[in-house]
Amino acid sequence: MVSLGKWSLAKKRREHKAGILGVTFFTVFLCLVIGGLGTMAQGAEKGPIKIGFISPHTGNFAQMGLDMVDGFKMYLDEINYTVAGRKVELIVEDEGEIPATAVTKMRKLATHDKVHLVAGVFLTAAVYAVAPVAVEAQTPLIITLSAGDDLTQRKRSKYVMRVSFTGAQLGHVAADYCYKKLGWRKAVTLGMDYGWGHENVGAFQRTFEEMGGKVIQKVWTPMVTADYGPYAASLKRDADGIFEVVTGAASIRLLKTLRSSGLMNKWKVMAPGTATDESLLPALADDGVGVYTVFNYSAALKNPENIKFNEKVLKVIKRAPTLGMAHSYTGADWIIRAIQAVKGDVENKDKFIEAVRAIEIPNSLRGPLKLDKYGQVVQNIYIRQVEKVGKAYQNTVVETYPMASQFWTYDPETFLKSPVYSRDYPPCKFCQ
Amino acid sequence: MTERRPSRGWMLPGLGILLAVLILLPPILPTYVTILITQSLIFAIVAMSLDILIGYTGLGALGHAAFFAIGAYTTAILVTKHQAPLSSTLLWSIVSAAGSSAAVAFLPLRASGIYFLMITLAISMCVWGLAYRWVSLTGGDNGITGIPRPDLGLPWAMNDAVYFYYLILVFFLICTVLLFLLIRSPFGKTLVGIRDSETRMKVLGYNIWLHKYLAFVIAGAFAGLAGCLYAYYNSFVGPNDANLGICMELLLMVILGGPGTLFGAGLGAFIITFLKNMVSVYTERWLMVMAVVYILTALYAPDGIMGLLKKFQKRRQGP
Amino acid sequence: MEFWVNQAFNGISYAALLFLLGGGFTLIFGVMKIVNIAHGSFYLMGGYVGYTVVLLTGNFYLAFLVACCVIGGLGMGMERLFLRGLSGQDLRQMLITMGIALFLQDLSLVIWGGNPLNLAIPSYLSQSIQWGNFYFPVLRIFMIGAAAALFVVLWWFQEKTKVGAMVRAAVDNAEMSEGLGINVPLVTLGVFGLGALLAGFGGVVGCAFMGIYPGLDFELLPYAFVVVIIGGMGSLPGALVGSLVVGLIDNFGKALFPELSYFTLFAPMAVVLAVRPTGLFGKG
Repeated sequence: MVSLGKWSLAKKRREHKAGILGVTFFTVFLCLVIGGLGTMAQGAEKGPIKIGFISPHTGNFAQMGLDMVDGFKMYLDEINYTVAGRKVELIVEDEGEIPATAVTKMRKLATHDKVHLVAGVFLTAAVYAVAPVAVEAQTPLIITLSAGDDLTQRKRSKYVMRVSFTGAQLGHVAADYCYKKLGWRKAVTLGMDYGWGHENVGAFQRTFEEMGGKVIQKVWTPMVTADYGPYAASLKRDADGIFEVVTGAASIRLLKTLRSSGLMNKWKVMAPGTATDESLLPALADDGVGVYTVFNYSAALKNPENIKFNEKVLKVIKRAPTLGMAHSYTGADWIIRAIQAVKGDVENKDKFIEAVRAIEIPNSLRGPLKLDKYGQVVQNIYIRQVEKVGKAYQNTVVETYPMASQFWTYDPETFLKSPVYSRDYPPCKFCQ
Repeated sequence: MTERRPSRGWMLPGLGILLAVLILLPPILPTYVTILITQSLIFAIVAMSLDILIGYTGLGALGHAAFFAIGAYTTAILVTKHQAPLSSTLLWSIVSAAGSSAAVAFLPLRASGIYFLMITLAISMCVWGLAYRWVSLTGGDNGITGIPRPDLGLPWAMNDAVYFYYLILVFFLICTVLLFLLIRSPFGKTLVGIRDSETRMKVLGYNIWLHKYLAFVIAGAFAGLAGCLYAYYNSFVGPNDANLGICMELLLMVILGGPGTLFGAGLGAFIITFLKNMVSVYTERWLMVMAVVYILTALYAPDGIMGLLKKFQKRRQGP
Repeated sequence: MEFWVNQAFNGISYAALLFLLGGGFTLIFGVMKIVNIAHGSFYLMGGYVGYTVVLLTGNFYLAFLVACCVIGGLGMGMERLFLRGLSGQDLRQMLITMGIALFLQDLSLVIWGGNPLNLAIPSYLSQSIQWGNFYFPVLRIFMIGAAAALFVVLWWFQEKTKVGAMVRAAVDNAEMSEGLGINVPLVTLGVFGLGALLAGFGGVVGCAFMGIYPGLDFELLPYAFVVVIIGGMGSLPGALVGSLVVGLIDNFGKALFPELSYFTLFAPMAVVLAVRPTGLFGKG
């Protein structure tokens, strides 16, 4: 039985006395906490510009979160944390591993720290949970890394803008390349069973099938999958290739499994770029060579801005550049330019938001950037292939799709009439 | 067993102070603190219901988060898919949580001690697994987002942190009173008797199994209620609301506060909630801080803070 | 045909990994009646230590040796410093093991960072044996072999040696055993260390097989639970059977009903709980 110490009737009397002690203790505790937290809150008049930044510091994506923060800080360092005559204060919060943590932190940033805007956020599930909170608190949310397509489509709000990418933005392009350049006519898909997976695969399937291809199998895997062996074994062998959406450490497991099961000898693999993020390439080693990915960035891009960026990262952050760093850096650039455009007057939220939406960066490290009228960035999308160059691995750019929008070639209004890409949409007509 | 009338008098002013603090302070506190207190109150309800099992019945029930999550999901689904009002979600959350508790309680009650523990843990893992993969119902990993605050038809909008806090406070007080009445009732005293000596109670003719079973179901009902409130509070419910970490945290809340005192569980809920959210402001290594809290509590304060206070009391009173 | 063979092979190799994880867990549970929440952390640390050894020395087998020693020592240290003297107090023990699990998770984040790491295995292990249309990765064969060998060793130890008899006696009745002159504290110390060692070994294998990263400890713990519940708490043969059941059901379930992945895992567990709560081979 559970052992909790022996009880006796005499203790009851002490219990009551302990009761009042306990209550007093609690009240004192509460006051200390309030005092402590109270001193943390600063009345924000024309003090510093406060930017909240949310990224994962613990769990599966801890390293990504670290990259995100480092990239953002690197930019702020370069401008000496000052813009338009005001100091910039960066408040970094841990998104945790579950969206509930991200929501609590967002609330804290918006209502307690009273930040002027929030940037960052990584996990798609987290950003979907966090966006309504930002909107309710009327705090601009500038998503620098997440996807979560619907936040700039059917669930859009003036407070939410995104300078990263959407799942669909990548999926559509991937389908075009796979059909036209890789010659696929039949494809299987394997995606992580959450928003990011659904949106990529849905977009891929739609465009692929409109061009005449057939998706003959759609497999959804839990985010926590230790062994991809059974899934790999269940893939239909008569397809021409596989489009997979698996991120983080799991990507390594999947790709290794595809390699060791002989499937990579048969098929080409296409995935969104997060599957072969530069931080994963060393662990992937030879198993990743030849994998195609679709993304808005590669560390191997040869434009002068990116070359400068890579040098800076190696010097300042002392690690190889990754997509987390690159996206944060560009995101910071975007935000600071917007602040400059309103001459530091971030308190005027409507004007600031307008400025953010009007920013155009013709020569960012990943190419020209601008926002469409739904708040989503329009940008070059690159097809890359993992290559071994000397002793290192890189995502070599093999094709560029200039200025692709989140709607591909579809008319936005018509696009928005159909539901967001999900597990069951588009429905699998050719599934066997 | 007679009550000691004189010592009762000590409780009331203490509780009065606490009540005054809870009622009067929030409007003048920073909003974030109010939000944290709201969260603490919700978890205090769950922790207190768990204390009924652990502290008062002597059942090491580790899977309690499962019923909390069931209540939360019920509310989330009813609100987002059927726009159900508060009265409806409250009712159904309690029913689904108590119902599930009633359905599964048979399994752990066949075992005892550490086996009981493992089985309750296994049950909560089943709930987690279901929540995770029954995607059409629960949204899987995405969870259910965008749960709006209840529309009470009152002049005070629940979107405001302070007004919502008062709503939660009302529920908290109701639950506390109900639980208090429960442990003071003959049923509650029987539970304590079972905790102290099952054989004695059996000899006296009490139906041990039935009492334990009912305790399980009642605790599950309260956890479901708290789950309902949580869904509104967090506006988001996900499978991780039933995972091992939450189960262990609830256990920590009960033990840290002091098992078998009801108040201790509430205290533990406050401390852990504030600790979790405040420590990360000061250090990245907040997991290590939590680890230390777990270990110190288990090693040096097995009866929790209330237990330590009693020991302190005892020493002051002398031999 | 290809499908069934592949899946069965995958299932058995996965079962091998689960046995390494669950075997230690069930040993600790059986002898000391402790639910060791930190068991996943032993696995995690084993993987990290193994990774570092391979990084520094390039020797795959040395990695096993070092990881086993370090994690075994870690386990014994944990038992001696924290758990001794708390026997019978289940909740307190669980709190401590939880605290240690959190501590180890954060510690590994500090030391090894957040990126997923993969062990560099000798090239002969990273190939696949091709037999017609079938591909059998050598690493998986290695896993099955290692787990089987360990099981035989442990079983022989428990059933056929004097020390093993002492362990069994301590499991059945600690007081009596102490009365008979068996040094029960030493036995519990040893068993805890052995359980940890197994998990550490599994960690090295797992790191080579599927990589290691923070959070893996709590991701794998449910699997250990399921193995132990199905197989029976405290029984080594039970752990073997349990891991085979879980490994095969998980594999076939994922392949045939990918929608129900976790359900195919927990459903057998629920059935066992309902019918025979102490597991297929469990005592009591």
